[in-house]
Amino acid sequence: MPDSTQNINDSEISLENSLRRVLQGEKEAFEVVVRQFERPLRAWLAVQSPPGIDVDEIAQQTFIAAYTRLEEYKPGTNFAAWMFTIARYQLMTETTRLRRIADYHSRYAPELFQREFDRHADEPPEMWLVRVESLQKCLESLGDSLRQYVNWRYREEIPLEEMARRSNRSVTAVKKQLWQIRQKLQQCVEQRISKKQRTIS
Amino acid sequence: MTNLPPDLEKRFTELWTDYLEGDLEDSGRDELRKMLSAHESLQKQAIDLFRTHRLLGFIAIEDPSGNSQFVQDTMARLPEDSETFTRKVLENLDSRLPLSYRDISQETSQSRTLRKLVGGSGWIVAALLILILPFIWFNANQQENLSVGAGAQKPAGDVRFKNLSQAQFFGELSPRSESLLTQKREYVLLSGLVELAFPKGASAIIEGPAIFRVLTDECLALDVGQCSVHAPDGAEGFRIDTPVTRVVDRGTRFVVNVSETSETEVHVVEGIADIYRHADEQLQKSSADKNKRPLTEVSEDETFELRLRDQEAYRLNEDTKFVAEPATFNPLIYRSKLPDRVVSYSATKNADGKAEFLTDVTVQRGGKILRYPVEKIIPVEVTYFKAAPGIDNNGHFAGGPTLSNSRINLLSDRALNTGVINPGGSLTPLVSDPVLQTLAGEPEASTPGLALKFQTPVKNGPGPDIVLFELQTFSNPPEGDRFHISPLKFSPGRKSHTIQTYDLSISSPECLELTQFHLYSFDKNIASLNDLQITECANKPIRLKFLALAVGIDLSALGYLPGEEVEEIFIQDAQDDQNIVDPVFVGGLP
Repeated sequence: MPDSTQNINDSEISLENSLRRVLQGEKEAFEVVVRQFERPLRAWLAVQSPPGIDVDEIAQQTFIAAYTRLEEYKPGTNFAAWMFTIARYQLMTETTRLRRIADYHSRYAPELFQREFDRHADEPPEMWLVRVESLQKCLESLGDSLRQYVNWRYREEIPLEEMARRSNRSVTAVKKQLWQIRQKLQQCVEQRISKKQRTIS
Repeated sequence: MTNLPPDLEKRFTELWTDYLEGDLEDSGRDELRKMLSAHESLQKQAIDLFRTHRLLGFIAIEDPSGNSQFVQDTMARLPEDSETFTRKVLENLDSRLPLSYRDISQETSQSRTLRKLVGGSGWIVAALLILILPFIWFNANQQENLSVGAGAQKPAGDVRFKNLSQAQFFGELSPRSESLLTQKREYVLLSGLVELAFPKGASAIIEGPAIFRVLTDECLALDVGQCSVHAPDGAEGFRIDTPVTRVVDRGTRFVVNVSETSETEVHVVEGIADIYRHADEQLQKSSADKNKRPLTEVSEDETFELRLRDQEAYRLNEDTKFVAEPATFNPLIYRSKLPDRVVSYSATKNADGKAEFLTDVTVQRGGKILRYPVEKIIPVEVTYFKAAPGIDNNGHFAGGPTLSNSRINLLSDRALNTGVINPGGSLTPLVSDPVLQTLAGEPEASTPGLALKFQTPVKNGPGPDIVLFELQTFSNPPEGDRFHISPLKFSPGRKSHTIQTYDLSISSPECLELTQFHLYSFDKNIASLNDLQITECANKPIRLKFLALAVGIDLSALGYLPGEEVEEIFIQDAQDDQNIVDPVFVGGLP
């Protein structure tokens, strides 16, 4: 415990120092901010964004807006909360814009789960980092053959037909396999998180 | 897993996989929509899988060495200095416009420029719009800030924000009422309403979402949104510019509505208004026969002018051709005033300069602005409390460094940093009396929430009859924590009402920052008022910045008749997110 407390304090001090330097005109000091927050911000945006949103674009816009408006930030207060408020606005604006585009609804059908999205809109960003870490562990525990599907689908982004060809299976079978993998990972993440919560309590 | 029939589960698996893979056809989408509407468990499963899908995508592109590429790309996009950057972007955009268009936009119409581009180039430019919108705001804001220091660019003119109601602006706090607008600066109103007052007496109520600029003391540019104008005697000649038209007032009340495609509708409620094609500016000075009706389509070399009278409406658009056609007159869209609401409040200041005790509340009731000293406001007493199942880590009291024996009275005092917080609730509002007493051994049968009794009955008058304040910080929903308010005793006609947005939200400059307070948490679930009163609790000081948000509640919204008296109400959190309502002051207006 003392070590992690020390780390948090060091990190906060380093962040505040960097922010002060940025305000004094040292643009490069903002890199500390980007490095510290890019992961939680992108993870948060990945799960909070409806389909069709370019998460990295919104993340970059958030950093740029935070940089250009840094004078409005009150030193010593919660910088993360301030920046996530900006992110929330950026996401809201982009979502509103997309919804007004004629074929957005027919392409992505965002209304299918809008209510669930709205219900979870205020979940704390740090929660999603825990989920990312759990998912990484769960991925590692997958067998090589199943992990191959994940790599094809998410890293190489190859079409389903090509995945079917490579695995010598039908497209339908590949889809079913992907469904099972996602579900397995989902269950694994839930188990890890609940185990972690039990350990803490 | 769900307890659904295997066939249904199988079909859902197929459809949702097709959705995630981008293979879902129209018929499948309809089937999926019906399926999700009918089965809440499938909705949850769908969103969980969608999020796992998104996180897998996130992990796949993550660079174990720390995402250097993303960091580098972001750093490369930071402006050298913000003003130079904004100017360069806008200059670049402007240079891409046709010369004729640039000539027309002598008034530095940024939004019109952007609109033109969006119309012409589709997605790519739309993305560019999103990219630069914050900088347009920032540029304008910087100019405003600079003007204070340098005295070089003071807000020219004398157009003011007269009133604001739940106004949320893009990327900035709402301005104060009576503050001056900066001429030619673009204002992006995301939601809510603002009323602008022009020096010669004209007033304009703009409804969000809207983009607007004040061009002169007698001219408002409305690029998107709806605006109700009243120009009394002496304000004739006041005009509204839209991307395709110029509407000149001749002593009237009218409404202008501009859609995202620039289609403009004008409805004249009273008096006369003249409409010109935006490009035909010279016509405003002529006095041609304005009674003639225009052609439905007007070619480039024809001019357009139209005089609209009482209860007439026209729709105008310009794509390849300028088109004007009569529209159905709708008097209901005209807005003569902002909604009744809490306008502002005052409080005593603690030694740290931050707010502590409420001193008065200013409310618009029945269109009249009224100020109520706190001594006149009818206080409440907590008569029932039940939290949501489980333990709320933020506790159920906000208070000082210690709690007195009468801790439940923290909601009855005038302090804005003390209250009975985080009551239980329900996603759906009550439709019948809350259950406040249960048989022994059945505590779950009672209704989660908070019952309040007024010291003397509150009469249902015009506009808000009750004011509620809650404490809120910046990481919470900026519009306030949603809650339901219900009669304690239902009868025919009575109903629950849900507060979605507070009158004074976190972006309202009228909201005051609160002095420090403490939160009191419990290590067991608080299922009754007795639990709340006697259970031992732990105290932690709160150092984050908190504001007091406020909302007015009209008893008519709960189905009470005008003049009817109300003794008790029931409050439930809306349970739509993790943020629970935190009442710190509730009072009835005399």
